[in-house]
Amino acid sequence: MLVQLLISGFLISAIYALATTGFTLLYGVSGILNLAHGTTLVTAGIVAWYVAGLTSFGPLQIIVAGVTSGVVVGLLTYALIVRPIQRLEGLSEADEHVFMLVGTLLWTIILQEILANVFGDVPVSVPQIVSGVVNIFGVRTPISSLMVAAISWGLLGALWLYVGFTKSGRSLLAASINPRGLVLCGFNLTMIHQVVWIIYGLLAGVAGVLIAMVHGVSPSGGLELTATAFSIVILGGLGSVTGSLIAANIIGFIETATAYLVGPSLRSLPSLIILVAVLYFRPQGLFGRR
Amino acid sequence: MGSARLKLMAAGLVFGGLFSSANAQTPPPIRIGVMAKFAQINGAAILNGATLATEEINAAGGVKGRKVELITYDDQGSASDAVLAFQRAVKQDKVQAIVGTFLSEIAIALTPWAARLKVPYIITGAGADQVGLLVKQNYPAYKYVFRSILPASSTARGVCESMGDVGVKQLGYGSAVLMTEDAAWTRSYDEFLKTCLPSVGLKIVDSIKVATDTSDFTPIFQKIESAKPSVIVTGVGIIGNKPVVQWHNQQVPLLMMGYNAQAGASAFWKETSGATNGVVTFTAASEDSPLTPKTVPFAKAYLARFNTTAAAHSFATYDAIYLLKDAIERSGSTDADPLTDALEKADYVGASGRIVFQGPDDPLTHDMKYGNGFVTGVSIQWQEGKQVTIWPPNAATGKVVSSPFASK
Repeated sequence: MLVQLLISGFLISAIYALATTGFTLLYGVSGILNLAHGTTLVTAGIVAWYVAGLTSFGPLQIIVAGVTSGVVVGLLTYALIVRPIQRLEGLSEADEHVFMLVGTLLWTIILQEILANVFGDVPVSVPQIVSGVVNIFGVRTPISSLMVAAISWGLLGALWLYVGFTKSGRSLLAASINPRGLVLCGFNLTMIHQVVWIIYGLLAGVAGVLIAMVHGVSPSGGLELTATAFSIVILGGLGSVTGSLIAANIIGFIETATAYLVGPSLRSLPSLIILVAVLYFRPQGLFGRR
Repeated sequence: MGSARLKLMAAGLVFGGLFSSANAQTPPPIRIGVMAKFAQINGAAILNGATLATEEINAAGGVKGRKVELITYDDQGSASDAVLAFQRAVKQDKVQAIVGTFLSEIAIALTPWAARLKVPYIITGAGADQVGLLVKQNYPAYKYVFRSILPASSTARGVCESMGDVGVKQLGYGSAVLMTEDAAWTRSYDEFLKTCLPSVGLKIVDSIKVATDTSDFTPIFQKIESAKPSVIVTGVGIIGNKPVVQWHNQQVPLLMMGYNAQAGASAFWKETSGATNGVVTFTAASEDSPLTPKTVPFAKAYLARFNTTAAAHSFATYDAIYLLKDAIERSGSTDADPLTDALEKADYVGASGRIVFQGPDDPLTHDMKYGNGFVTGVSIQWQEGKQVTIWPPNAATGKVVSSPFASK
């Protein structure tokens, strides 16, 4: 039982971590809570499924198609919703936050309806990268799930290297700490925001395809995914990538333990209780700065 | 002046005559509302079944010379939207009858409205026994509500009989875990199976209720496996494809048999990217099972028209439109009361079987009678992309295949 719990917790946490990182990175660098996040993940998963059914493409092309759609939706969100709101004159910072929340919420509904009308409001699943299972300490584990975990952590490692060891990545970090200082140093903040939206789209695209592979996605499931990501970043601290990674593991393992020890239908309950407790006792989250 | 007035009057008479003769030549259409969430497999199946029946009827000259006009109402899977649409259909669009509804929760909400608005309402997707009980308990006020899909307890009976013939006798199974979704329709489904399955030789070693928003089935499958059953008997419809996809990905070495409301349509194979291979489900009828002379022609026409196989809801809705045609022709009226009386007396051979409704004294009033000589249903198994009918023996076109992962 303990081994089962650890393996299942590890696999689900890896997906949660990847699905949340883009969301929190976006908030950290540009201060935007993108409520269309879940639908961006769903779009990537559905496009990958559609491409997989249409052609004899291999897994790589299917993933590329899904990830590309994630980037496209990310950039569309920026160009159609975020940028016009940022250009509105006479808007206070607080009003801008509210406008962003409302704007991205409406955008998620529009995307959801488009997806439901084009592809149907049905859950779809992307074929596995590799079929088959391996036995880990007596627990039958799909090879595909292990690969999904490896891709998740590999991508998160690549992001860490990018942010920590490249000039462009460091400028993202600087933008999250002191955007005005960055502008005074001669950096183009708009370009940095565009880069972060592309990175966001890439992360969301990969996460969406992987979720569609492991659990399946549906147009109406977007808001649920946003809610999960939201819970994780609140626990980890808004804008803190490290906090999100740790929170993703905490939530992933607690949910799995609840499903095994109490009952599958109650798996989301403890994380919601934790969320309320965090908001009450430590509203900035475990590693939050704002 | 007088001459001008006469000319005007003459012109009025001529135009009036032309207008009334045009009206006499094209009688008003019979308006039928079809309601479901059309973006989902089951909703699309309902709409497609109604569309095909309407097209056929109109191509053959309509009903007593009147064309059938189908008016669609998307309920978005919401009871409040459905109630508003139902009211609009009757009060504003003046429909003569309404067919459809996939979710039992919505059918239960609409049943009193059919009574208040006095409009014949044939449910073609929702299975909760509660609907038939409501009609029985409130008869004759609720007499306008009928159902052309099997109620959950009859579906459970079909599942149980097929489990006895296929699971126990052919595959040698002796125990089962019952895995059903937490929804209105599974109450009577579970209740029936818990008594029936042991009586056909399947001991129930565990019974698991699954929330309809469950995303990760890993702990559920591991709990099932730890009970060491021979088979998983399912009752799912709203959950969608998640349990099937994860069952396939995790190579759970137990066959999934029972009822999966979506697996009757070939669209399900596409949505699961083939993960549904091996799944067994009870359904109304199938492409290769000639339950009546109308079954196979309908199934083939449906496949050709919509590029997907007909699900149980397609059969039910197709039959519902023809039931209305039959009742209008027999009663000679589209008014609610004579139409309802005619529907009560229906003895109609449809694509899913011989349809005779239960009466006010039967257990589930206005539900279809189940059993030999009436409607029975079939069990199909997905085998390498094809639906193979494996039960009942007189309709079977192939043998059941054991779990694709049993030896691993």
